[in-house]
Amino acid sequence: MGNREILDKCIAEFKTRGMDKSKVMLNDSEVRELYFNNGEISMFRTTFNTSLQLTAIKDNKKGASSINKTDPASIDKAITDTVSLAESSNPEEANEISEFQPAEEFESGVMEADNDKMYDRMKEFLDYVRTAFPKTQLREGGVSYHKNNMILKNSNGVDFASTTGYYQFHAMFSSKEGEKTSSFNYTYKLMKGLDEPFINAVNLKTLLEHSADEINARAFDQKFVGDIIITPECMESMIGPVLSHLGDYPHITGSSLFKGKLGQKIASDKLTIRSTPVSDDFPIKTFISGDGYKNEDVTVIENGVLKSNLLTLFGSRKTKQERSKTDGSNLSIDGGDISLNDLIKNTKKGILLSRFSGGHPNDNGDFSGIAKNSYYIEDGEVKYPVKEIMVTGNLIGMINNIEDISKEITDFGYYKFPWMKVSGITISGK
Amino acid sequence: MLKIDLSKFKNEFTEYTELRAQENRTTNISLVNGNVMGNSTTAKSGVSARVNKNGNWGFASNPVISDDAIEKVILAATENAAFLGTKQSKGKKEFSSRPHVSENAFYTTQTKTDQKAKIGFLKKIDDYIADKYSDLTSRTLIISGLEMEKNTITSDGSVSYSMVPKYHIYTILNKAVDGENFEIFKAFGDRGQFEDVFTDPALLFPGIDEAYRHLVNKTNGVFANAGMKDVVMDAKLAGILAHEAIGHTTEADLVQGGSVAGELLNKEIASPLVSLVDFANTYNGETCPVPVYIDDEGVKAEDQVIIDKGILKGYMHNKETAKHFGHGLTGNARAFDFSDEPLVRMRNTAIIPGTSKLSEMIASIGDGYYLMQSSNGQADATSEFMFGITLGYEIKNGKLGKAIKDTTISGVAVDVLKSVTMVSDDMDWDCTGMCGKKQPMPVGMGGPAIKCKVNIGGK
Repeated sequence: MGNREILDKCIAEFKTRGMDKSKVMLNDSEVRELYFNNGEISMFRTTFNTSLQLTAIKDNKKGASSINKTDPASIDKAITDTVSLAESSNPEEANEISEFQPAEEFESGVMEADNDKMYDRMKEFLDYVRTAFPKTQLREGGVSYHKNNMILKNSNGVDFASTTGYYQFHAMFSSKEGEKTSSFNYTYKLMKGLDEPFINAVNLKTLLEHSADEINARAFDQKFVGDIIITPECMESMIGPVLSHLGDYPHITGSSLFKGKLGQKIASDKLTIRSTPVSDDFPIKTFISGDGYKNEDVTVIENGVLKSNLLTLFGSRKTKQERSKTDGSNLSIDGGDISLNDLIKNTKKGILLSRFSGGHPNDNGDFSGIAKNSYYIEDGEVKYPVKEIMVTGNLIGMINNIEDISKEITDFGYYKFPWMKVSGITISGK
Repeated sequence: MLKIDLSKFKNEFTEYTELRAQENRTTNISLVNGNVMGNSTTAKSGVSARVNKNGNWGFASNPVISDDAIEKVILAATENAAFLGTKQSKGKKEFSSRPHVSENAFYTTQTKTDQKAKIGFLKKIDDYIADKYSDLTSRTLIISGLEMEKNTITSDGSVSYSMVPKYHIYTILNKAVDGENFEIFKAFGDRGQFEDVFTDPALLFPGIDEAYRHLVNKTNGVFANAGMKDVVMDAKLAGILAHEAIGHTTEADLVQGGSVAGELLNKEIASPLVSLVDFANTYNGETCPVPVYIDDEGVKAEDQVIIDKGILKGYMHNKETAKHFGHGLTGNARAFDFSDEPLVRMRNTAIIPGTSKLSEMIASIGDGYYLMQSSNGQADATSEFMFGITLGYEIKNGKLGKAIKDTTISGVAVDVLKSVTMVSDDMDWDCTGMCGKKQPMPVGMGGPAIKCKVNIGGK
């Protein structure tokens, strides 16, 4: 039986068993991974998996289950379980499935893995680092190929299918000299192909240079309010918590920092954030949202004004707000008109924040954490790598105190981020 | 139940081989302000094989568990190792082995609770909170269950079957005062299926009352004074200290990758008051939160002493790192999903209790903090660790003062552990969270209260 027939049969069976609405999604995935460990390629892995996700609603009561089998007995049990879950639940008017949209099939990326080229690129990278960065140890990482075939159908006639394929490179490393060790650092990149050597990906060369330098990171005993320049590598851990306040849970509980702020200014006018799941600018597209809509490219924050929350169908119905037309993937921040060099030159005292290792911000957006792989900046110059430095601030304060954004942008394949200078951050040493 | 006899496939092994059939099952129910927001289960199962041929690892997995699929997975893993062999030769690797045969399944003997009853259980707790604490802006209750069932055979003779479950109820209470939001998190739970862990909702009410009292205190909380401070870490935090500060740094794959612990074996890295052990499955005659009897490389798991009275005594190993360092096997190779390869992971990492009383420890501090609850944490090759603090109090002249706002603490493990001057005589075990290292993994953490110096974030 083909995948479409399996899904049609599930929807028909839910109807037979008295369910009002149902949504079914089947995803076949393939992963091929060349993994390196301590600078040597150590493992080749091929994994195949299936995910069948079933959702049923009866009298506004919802149940959901997921299995990774498609044989008739497993599917029958999963349907029984889902019906039982729905019948055991409480009614909730926000439970709904997406309305009818014309059927479409999508395809993006590379459809076939090249095992030999994966190996050659990986070996080229490991050999290069071994020679060019003798103090640096490539702790672990690899290159992997991911292919997904997904079909989503529901009882309103929604019928979407997508096939996507991409490569992903990642590396984690630290440096060592004698008894001294640097803090580990890492980076990732998603790619359509393997045309470029991995060493040219993102800011990898700079990160590796810094890693060796960070062996001699210094602590200081100062405590001051200064600037941080958030690097592209660090941006997701700083901006991610801001965007999480646009999602379902904080809006439903009423704890969102941006409750009722749609259309209002919430940040510096220098800040524009986009989520472009179907843009050609990204190697991988996410055509379909998990709740069964065709994704669209969306500007989330434009010149500091909140243009879109990131609410699912459930979240939008529960909070009586508009559903987001994006699932939040392929995030980018618009670059500014100043160079990174000038951004640093204009900084009196602060930290080049390359990695943030901190606790989750509290409900008011207060955050604190250690500045990892970071550098002290004074009088417009990057002085030395630091260690044991704590940075403390507030998410709302951070996005309103943006001094400047670099024109240079780093492309991670799933994010495109610039460097961003923020003032008013408490920086404290030991 | 997924109990399979894999022994007949041993004839298919042509090289060093591990074969595993596994199912992970999860349950998730969430209630927000009394409304069911999530009500789902997942089951993910399959078979995987890992083969070592001439020093190269090949791994393959398939979600179908049938004789034919298992034979194909063994073949695919062998071919994957051979593919690497066409590119590079490392020479045949002979690993030490400690084969064992065991069967340990923690299935409940109680009547099973269906999903409707679980929702009802949660609803009774929610009704209690809604009736008693009407000033809350929101309340969230979550049942989260994970059951990991594994069948493993290895070419060196191990045969194991295990089913280790854990169930938790997470409570999140929110209160707004003057436009400012405050939150308290409280987790209940343990190893075991739902029926063994949760018998009566009323047993959770005292914990809820305590969480609410702390939440009210947090609404009058102050920012910590940033910098290096004397602190008492509650027993509930010692486990995460053991895990983040020392545990990760002494995982042998990280040591091999350059962690500072590589230079510190048999050296003093902590106060003589500090001893730290990664327990395999049993502590003081009681089963640990995440018992491991045979690891996923087929090694009989044994306790590993990491720190003995302040001296670093050993690392946690898989077969490859034990060979690299010339150390004995420990049984720390663990995989999360059927499609994951085993990595060096902690099991039940704990600081051993001392002789002090918590009240004496607090009384001994003139200006510092009593830290009671943590959120996320992270380790580093340098041993500089951090974890989030979501509940703590000032200590002024030996007495507890105001609650502090959520913050982060950090330190270099060796410096922090050398600063330990008191260790309490109690012990708290926990398996609430998941450790993240390429794959998620349930781990146990434990310890007593600790008095030490750490860097605290604040203003």
